[in-house]
Amino acid sequence: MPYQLSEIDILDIALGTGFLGSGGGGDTKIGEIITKNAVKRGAKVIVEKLQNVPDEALVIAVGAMGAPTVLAEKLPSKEESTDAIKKMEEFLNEKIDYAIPAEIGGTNGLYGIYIASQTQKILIDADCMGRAFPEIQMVTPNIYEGIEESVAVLANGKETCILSAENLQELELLARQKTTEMGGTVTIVYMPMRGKKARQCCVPNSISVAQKVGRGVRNNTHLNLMENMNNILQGTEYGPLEQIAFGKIIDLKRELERSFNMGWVLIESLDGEQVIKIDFQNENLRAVNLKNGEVLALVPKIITILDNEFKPLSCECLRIGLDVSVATLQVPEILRTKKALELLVPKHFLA
Amino acid sequence: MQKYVRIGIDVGGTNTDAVLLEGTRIVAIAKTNTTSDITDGMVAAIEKLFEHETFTKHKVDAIMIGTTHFVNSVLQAKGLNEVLIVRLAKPATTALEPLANWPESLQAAVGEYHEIIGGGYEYNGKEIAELDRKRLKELAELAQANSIKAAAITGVFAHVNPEQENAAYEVLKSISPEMQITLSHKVGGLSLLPRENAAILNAALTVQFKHFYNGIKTATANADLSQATLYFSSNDGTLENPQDIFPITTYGSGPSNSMRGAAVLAKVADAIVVDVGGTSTDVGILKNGFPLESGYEVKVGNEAENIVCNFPAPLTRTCALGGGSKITVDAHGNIKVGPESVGYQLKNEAIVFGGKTLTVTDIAVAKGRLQLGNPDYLKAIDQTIIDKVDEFMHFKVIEIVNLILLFAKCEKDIPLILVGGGAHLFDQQILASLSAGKISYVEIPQHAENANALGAAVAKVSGNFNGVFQYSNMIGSKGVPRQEAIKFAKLRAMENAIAKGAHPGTIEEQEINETPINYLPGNQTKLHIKVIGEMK
Repeated sequence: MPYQLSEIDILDIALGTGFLGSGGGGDTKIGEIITKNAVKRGAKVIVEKLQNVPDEALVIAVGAMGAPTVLAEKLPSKEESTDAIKKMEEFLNEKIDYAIPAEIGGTNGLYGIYIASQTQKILIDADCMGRAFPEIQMVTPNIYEGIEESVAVLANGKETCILSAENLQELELLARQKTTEMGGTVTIVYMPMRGKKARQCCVPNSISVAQKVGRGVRNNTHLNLMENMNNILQGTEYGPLEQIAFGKIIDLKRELERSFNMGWVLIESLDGEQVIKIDFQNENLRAVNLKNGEVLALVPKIITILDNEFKPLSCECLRIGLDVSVATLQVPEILRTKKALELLVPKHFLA
Repeated sequence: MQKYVRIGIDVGGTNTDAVLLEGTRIVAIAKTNTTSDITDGMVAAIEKLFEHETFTKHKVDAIMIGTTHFVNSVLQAKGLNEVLIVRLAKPATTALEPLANWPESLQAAVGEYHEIIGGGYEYNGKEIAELDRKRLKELAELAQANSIKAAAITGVFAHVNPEQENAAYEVLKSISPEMQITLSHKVGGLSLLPRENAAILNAALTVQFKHFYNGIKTATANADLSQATLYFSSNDGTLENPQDIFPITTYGSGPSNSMRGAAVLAKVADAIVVDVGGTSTDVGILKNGFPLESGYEVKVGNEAENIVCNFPAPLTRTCALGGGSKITVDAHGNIKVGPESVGYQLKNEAIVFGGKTLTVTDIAVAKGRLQLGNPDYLKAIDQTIIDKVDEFMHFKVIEIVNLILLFAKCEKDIPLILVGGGAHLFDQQILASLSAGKISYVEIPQHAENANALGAAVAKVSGNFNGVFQYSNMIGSKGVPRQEAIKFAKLRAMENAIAKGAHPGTIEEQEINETPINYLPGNQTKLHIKVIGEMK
C-alpha cells in the first residue's frame, strides 16, 4: 500500500541522505527546506515500495544535475520540475507513473521527493545509486542491464531541452555540457524504464533507510555515535560505519570544473601527527593518509565528513578551521561487484 | 612601561556589567541594571568604576562592548524593525520564497513585504535576468508609504559579483534616502539562503543598532572618555571597530565573551561553561582557552525553530531560562518557566522586590541561595511550586550540559563552570549530583557575574584582507602560486590587525576563504584572510 510522508519524515530523511551522500549530492539543508515547505503548503508525497511497482508501469529517474555549490546559490525555480516532466511525457508520448530519485545521497534524494510531489507522481522507495555519485551513468540499471533509451530532459525555469544519446556515458557528456551552458545547475529527468526493469536493477528501500538513519542521528543520546549508528544499520544492506579520522581542516582546494566541484581537503589529527587528504569530485571519492600513502577508503565506500555536532557536511560546506571527523560506510553488495567497480572507480585511482 | 588600560562592558538583558583592567589586573568592577535606554545603564556602570579609584579616566585606552541585546531581540522577536526583503533572482530560486523556514513570530515581526524580482547572476557572470528596476522602485515606494525603515537585498551570486546589489542600493536610496540597507554580499558568503537570512536579520536590527551606537558615542563623550577607542565584540569573540561591524555579527559575542571570561576567572583551558543571564542560559565548550566553534550551521532563534545562517560563531545551546524568567501556573497546576522574561524590569516586577511576577530569581531567594529584596514577600508562594521549579531548572541545565558534552569529545573529565549574573541561581552540589559523569567538578568562580565584561575586555583583535588573485598552477604560467598569494594576503591582514592595536607577536591565522570567480578569464580567485591577535 502506498503511504504518505509527513514534515517530520522529511527532516529525518534529510539527515539520513546527508550520511549516504559521501559529501556530495548537495547540502541536504536546501532539499530539506524546499521539500518541507512544499509539504507544509499541502503538497502530497505518496510513496510505494519498489517490489509493488507493476511490470509495465513507466518509471523515470529524477534529480538535480550540476555543481552543488551552484545549487546552494541558485536554487531551483518552481516551474522547472513540471516543465521537465511535461517535456519528457510529450517526447515519450506516454504518461509517467512513477518517479525514482536518481541518487539518494545529499540534497538530491530530497529534491527527487520534491519533484515527485510537484508533478503528482508516485515516489518509489528506492534509488539508482544507493548513495551519491558524480556522473549520471553511474547508476545500477546501467551496470547490470544497460539502458534501452538514453534520453534526458534538462530544465532551469528559463529553458527546457531534451537530449538523446547512444548510451548513458554519451548522455552524461552532452548533459554536462548543456548544464554548464544553462547556469551550472538544472533539474534533470532521465532514463525512462519499465517497472519490471526498475524492480530488477534499482537499489530498494533507500528512502526508508535514509529515514531510519536520520531518525537515529536525531534521537542519538549515546556518547558513542558509531556504536549507535551500527545498531541502527542492522538489517539494512549498509554498514559497518567506522571512524577513520578526527581533527581540523587545515587546507582546502575547490574549483568549478565542467559543472563539477573538484578539489581536495586536508585534515590534520588533533596531535598534529597525521594528515589525511580527501579527494572529491562532487562526492568524496578517496581518503589517503599522507604520511605513508595508505589509502584509507575508496569509492564506492561512502566517505562522510561530520562536523562537531555529528552532522554530515557536504563538500561545499567545508571550510578551513572546522573541527571534523571522518566516517566511512560500506555500501550494498550490488555496488561492489567487479562490474560495478569498473564503472564507479575512476581509473587514475587504481594506478 | 605604561600598561594598557581598558574597560570591558557587557550589556545584558537584565544587567550591565563593567570591568576596569590595567594590563590583566582587575582594578574595579561595577554592576548596574540595564535601562530601557541601554546607554543610561552603561554610563552608570562606567561612573561606578571610577567611584573609589584614583585612576583618571583619560588613562583609558580602549572600551570594549559586548552585548546579547541583539540576540535577545531575535529570541523574543521584540524590538525588531520591519524589513523590505528583495531577492534579485527571478525566474531562478522561486521554489523557495524568502522567510520560508522562519518561525512565525519572527516572520510576523520582520516582514510581510518580501518578493523575488528579476535579477541575479549565473556563476559565470552572465545575468540570470536584468535587474527589474521598475518593480524595485514600486516596492521601495510601497515600503516608504508604510514607514519601513530598513531593507535587505540578496542577489544570486552577489558575493562573486555585487554590481546588481549595489545598483539596487542606489535605487532604494533615491526613493528613501534614510533607509538602512543591508546588502547580502557584505554579511555572508556562498549559499543563498543562509546569506539571505543573515542579511534580513541584520536589517531587522539596524534601526535599534544605530540608536545603540549613537547612544554609546554620546555616553562616552559625556563620561570624559572620548579619547578611548571603541570596539564591539563580534561572533568569534574578536573585536571590531564600530563602523565596520554589522549588528548580526554581534550575535554570538555573548557566549564567546562569557567563555573567555570564565577561562580567565576559573584559570582553566578546557571546560563546559554555563552562562546564566536574566533571560536565557547559554552552554558552550571551552577548548584550549577558546570557545569551540559551531559547525556549518549557525542557528539563530529558539530551540524548536531555527534560522540557518552561515557566519562563524561559537557552538552553544541556549534555553530561555534566566533570573528574570517568568513562572506561570495554569488552572491545572502545570508550571511553565519562561520563555518570557521581565528582563531589566526585575527590580520592579519580581515578588522579592514587591512586584507581582513570580520569577526564577524569587525561587533562588526562597531557596536561600541569593540574598535580595524582602524574602517575606515569598511566604505566600506555595512551597511545592518553589521545589518543582527549582528541580526543573537544575534538570534543564544538566540536560543541555549532557547534550553539549556529546560535542566536546573530551578525553578527560572536564569542569563545569557557571558564570553570568544568574550563576548563583544554581546550587553547585545539586548540579554535581545530577551530572552523569564526564564532569570533574562544578565551580562558580569569584566575579562570575562579570565574566562577560571581562571576556570582552580581554578579547582579541582581528585583521582582514580581501583581494583577487590569479593563481598559477604550473611553473611559467601567468599569475601567482596559491601559497604565495596566501602568504601575501596573510601579511596584509596582519598589518591590518596591528593597525587596530594587535600585538605583532601574538597574531595567528583564523580563517581563509577562497571563492573562484568563474566569469573572469584565467584562474581568478577572491581571497579573504582573517587573523587574530592579542591587544597590546
